[in-house]
Amino acid sequence: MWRFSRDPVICEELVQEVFVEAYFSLKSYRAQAPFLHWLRKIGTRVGYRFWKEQAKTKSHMPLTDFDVIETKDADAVDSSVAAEILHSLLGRLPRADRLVLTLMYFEQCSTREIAARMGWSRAMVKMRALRARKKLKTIAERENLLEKLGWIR
Amino acid sequence: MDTLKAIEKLAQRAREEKIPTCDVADRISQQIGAEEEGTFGFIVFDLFASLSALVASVVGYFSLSVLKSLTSPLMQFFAPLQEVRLW
Repeated sequence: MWRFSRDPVICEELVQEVFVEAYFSLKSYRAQAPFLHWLRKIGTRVGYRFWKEQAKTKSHMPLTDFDVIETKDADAVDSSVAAEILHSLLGRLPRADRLVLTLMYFEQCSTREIAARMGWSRAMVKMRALRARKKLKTIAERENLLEKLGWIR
Repeated sequence: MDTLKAIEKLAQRAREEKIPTCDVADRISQQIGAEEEGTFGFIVFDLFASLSALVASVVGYFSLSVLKSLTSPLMQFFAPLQEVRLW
């Protein structure tokens, strides 16, 4: 759930919601797939729903706030800072696009897995990923991401 | 470098992030307990409502014949007048 909110308090609430929802939906678990897959599906949907509620109070952290990233050495950049930047960048995308790219970038999910988790068709996920990447590229260029990420060569 | 490749590299770095852990076991069991209590209360209310509806329909069935025989008390004033010739 850390991929859906980087606020520890909200993250805890989301984890709680996932387990409570899982408990009350245990009847629908048919044991055809591993339990973890089923739980992940619930987690993804809870997170996706959270983004919908969050969209009403949309606020982005500007990339200029990440002064740490203006460094020449890749190893000097903390992985959590990198995750924070990516989270902030993805947060500028529409909800569905954001979900597809979040699962792809953070969890290395395939289009098949994303489709299974959300109940979407695989073609739809592929199309969404393509469009989302284009949008993300535009956003990143507008934010001068490449200049800031001097350590990426 | 292409922007998308830079983002891929950023993602690669981001995946190495150590995700914080949290313990919400107590809160989960509390919430489940509270919600189950709520569900039980709802079932009791449901049972009571069904029972009331059943009793009401039985009473309604028997009182229907009585209801049919009821007439307005005012009808007695008008009933004889029906036979009176006005001219």
